[in-house]
Amino acid sequence: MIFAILLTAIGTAKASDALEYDFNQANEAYQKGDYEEAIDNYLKLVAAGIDNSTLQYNLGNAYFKTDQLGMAIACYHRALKLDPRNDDILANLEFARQNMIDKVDPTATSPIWNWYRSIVLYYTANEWTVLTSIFLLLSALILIYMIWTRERGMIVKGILSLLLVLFMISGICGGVNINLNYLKSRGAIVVPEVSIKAGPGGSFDEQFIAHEGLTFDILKQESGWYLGVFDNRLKGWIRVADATRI
Amino acid sequence: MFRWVATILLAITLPVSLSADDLTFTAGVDRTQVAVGEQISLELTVAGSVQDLPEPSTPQIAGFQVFGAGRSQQFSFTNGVVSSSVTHRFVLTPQAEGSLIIPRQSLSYKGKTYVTSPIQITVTKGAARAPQQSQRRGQQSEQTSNGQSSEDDFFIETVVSKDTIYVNEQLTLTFRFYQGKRLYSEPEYKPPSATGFWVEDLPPQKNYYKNLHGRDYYVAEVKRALFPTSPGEKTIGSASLEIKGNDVMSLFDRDPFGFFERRRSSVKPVSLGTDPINVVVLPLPTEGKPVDFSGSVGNFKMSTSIDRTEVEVNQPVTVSIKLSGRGNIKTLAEPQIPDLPDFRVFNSGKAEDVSKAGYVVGGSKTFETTFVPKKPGTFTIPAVVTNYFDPESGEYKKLVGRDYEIKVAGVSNEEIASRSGVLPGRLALVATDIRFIITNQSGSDSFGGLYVTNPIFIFIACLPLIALGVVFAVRRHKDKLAGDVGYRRLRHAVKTAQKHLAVAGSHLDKNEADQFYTEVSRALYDYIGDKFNLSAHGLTEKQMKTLFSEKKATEETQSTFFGIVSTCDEGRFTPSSHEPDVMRGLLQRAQEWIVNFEQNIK
Repeated sequence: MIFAILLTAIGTAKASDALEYDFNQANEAYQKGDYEEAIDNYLKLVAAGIDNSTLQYNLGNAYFKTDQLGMAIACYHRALKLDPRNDDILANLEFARQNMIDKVDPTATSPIWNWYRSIVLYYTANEWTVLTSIFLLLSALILIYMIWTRERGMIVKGILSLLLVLFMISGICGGVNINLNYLKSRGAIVVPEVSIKAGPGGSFDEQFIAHEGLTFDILKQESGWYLGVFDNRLKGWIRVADATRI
Repeated sequence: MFRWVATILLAITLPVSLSADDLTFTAGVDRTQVAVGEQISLELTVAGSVQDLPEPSTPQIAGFQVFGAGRSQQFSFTNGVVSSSVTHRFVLTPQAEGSLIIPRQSLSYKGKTYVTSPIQITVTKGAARAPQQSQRRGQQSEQTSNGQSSEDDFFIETVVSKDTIYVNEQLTLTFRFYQGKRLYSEPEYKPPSATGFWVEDLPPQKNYYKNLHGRDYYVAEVKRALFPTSPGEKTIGSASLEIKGNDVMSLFDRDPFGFFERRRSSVKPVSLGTDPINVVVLPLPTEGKPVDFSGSVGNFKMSTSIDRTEVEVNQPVTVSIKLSGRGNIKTLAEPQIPDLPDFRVFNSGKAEDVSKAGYVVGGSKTFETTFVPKKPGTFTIPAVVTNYFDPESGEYKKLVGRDYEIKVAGVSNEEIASRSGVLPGRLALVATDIRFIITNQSGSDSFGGLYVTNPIFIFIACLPLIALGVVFAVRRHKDKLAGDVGYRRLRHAVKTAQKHLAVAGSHLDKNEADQFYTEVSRALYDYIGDKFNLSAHGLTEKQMKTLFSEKKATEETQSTFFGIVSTCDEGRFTPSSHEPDVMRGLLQRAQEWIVNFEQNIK
């Protein structure tokens, strides 16, 4: 694992040499209040394949400053995937949400699921993966000890069972995290006001009106339209151009 | 049949026309062979995923008389593609026989021109005429038998409620179908074309009996509401009705031989049409026209409501404006919402409820507007003002809603911004702005993706399992050694023999010939003993030969073995053989023999 981190660290170190300049330039532009310029520079880094929580956070800030609430919220969500306990990201996401028009209550979801979700999302997918492999390592060590020494006492057995249970729990949490953060697609509305349609086309009936920053699960994409489910279980079709994938 | 073809055609062309604003424009006819005097139905279909489809102009076709026969509109959803299509029907009557061509029809939309394929029509003379005459004969016999003109059996008329109306005022078009005889199946009705009008169907259809010119008729009445979209002289096209053969029977005939009458009269297809109607559409009067006229025509009332009047900063307040009354509800414009500097204003929804009670289009339309206050205080959302034109009185009328006073509590965004962030007396920190960017390159990278998909990580994570497997195998091996003497002896046979030979080597170096020969001899005997799990001491030459032959050892292997053993026995007692070279050679041979035996004998 250390080896893997080292490998990627070398890769990013090389890239950051070349791109550090862009990052600093973007930050300077932001500090001067030239948010459009900052966005351009941050986007250059994103285009270069940099996927970093600080970059997404700063980009989100620049979007917020240019009144692009939906893009800002999408960026904060992307940043949280990589750094879920970062106080700054959480604070700015909350602040941006307060500026939204639609207050959606996720009433339809059960409190148990919400609690479980908050635990799963407290760590990143990679943190869960490392945790799972640590429990696997410890379980293997205990087993090796048991095999080698023929020790079969209650204590060793207890420790082994505990480690195996922890291994399974963290494995499941990691799986759920990957599902929520990477396999499921979410979107955010990026235009001030959008009409949510009953079907994938402009001529369909309007279901309701949604405003910038509202997020939804993308169920499918069809001929330029997303079928989205909002947190209050309302469903509707949104033009792809009116939303961004998180 | 044609409809099927058209539907299939549409289904095929739709997935291709995925991109927005793409239109298809197709033409089709119900038949390509026709006799002079008969009619062809031409359908021009405009389809696409746009909301306001363009209308093709009435085609001018040499050799045919062309009448508009209405339009039909439909929405469809095929293979994930939404499309609306409008079909315009035209009735073509050929003027002369021969081969005629319906030329390409073209349609311009957003700078693009769409054309249809030309259609060839063969107009015949003789073939179709004979049945026509026979029909006529049948008709005459009917006339004589009933004493009535067959032209009077069926007729249709269209009537408009007024011939002079204002723009966007409702004009009711009534179509009546008088039947002097009963029909077995529904005739094919093509409503009149109404270019320049917004059309609303007015259900339900009315049916009643009516006495006309001394004869009873069964009347079917269909109404439509037309709203002219612009002033000027407009023409409502002709309506047509097609009654197919085999459908007709006498309606009020009580003749006992009526059955035969029916047989005879059920031959003739009838095609009926009405004359186009001209209507004068007046522009709305300029006198007294408000500057901000909304364009609504009819008779409306306005009511407003608010969901709450006491809120906090950044909490939304929703005002609903409901317009209800008579008129074209669907085109009702949203009342102007004044721009309020202390609020952020959003349009948050609209709902329509169209009623057609008493054949008058009306209903209500509700507009919802959300106001989000930016700072605390008491504010007034001013009354909404809109207007409409009442065609009955010929005057413009004004509608005024009511104003609402809203109390906004909390702290304004700017005020918090001006403070230091920490409010005196309490440490509740109210966010005033987003937090600043992070300028150093900390933060978590995605490290090139998820670990679970990284093969190196998977390998490292699996290492404990591999270690576990190795330990398990080693443990098993050890257990087997401990529990099975034969297994252990077999595994250790070579090692033991080599140990003895090494000892023999050291005796050789010290020139202790006696011990040397003893060790070499023991090495071989113990090796055989270990191999076969027997005691080396009691082994006789005979026993060994049996063992060797059991293991299928070659003659050479056996003779070498016994050669070395006898040399050892001799060497112990014959001092002459104490030559170091001979002894070294013997040691070499013993080693080679063991290696050889290991390789060949299993």
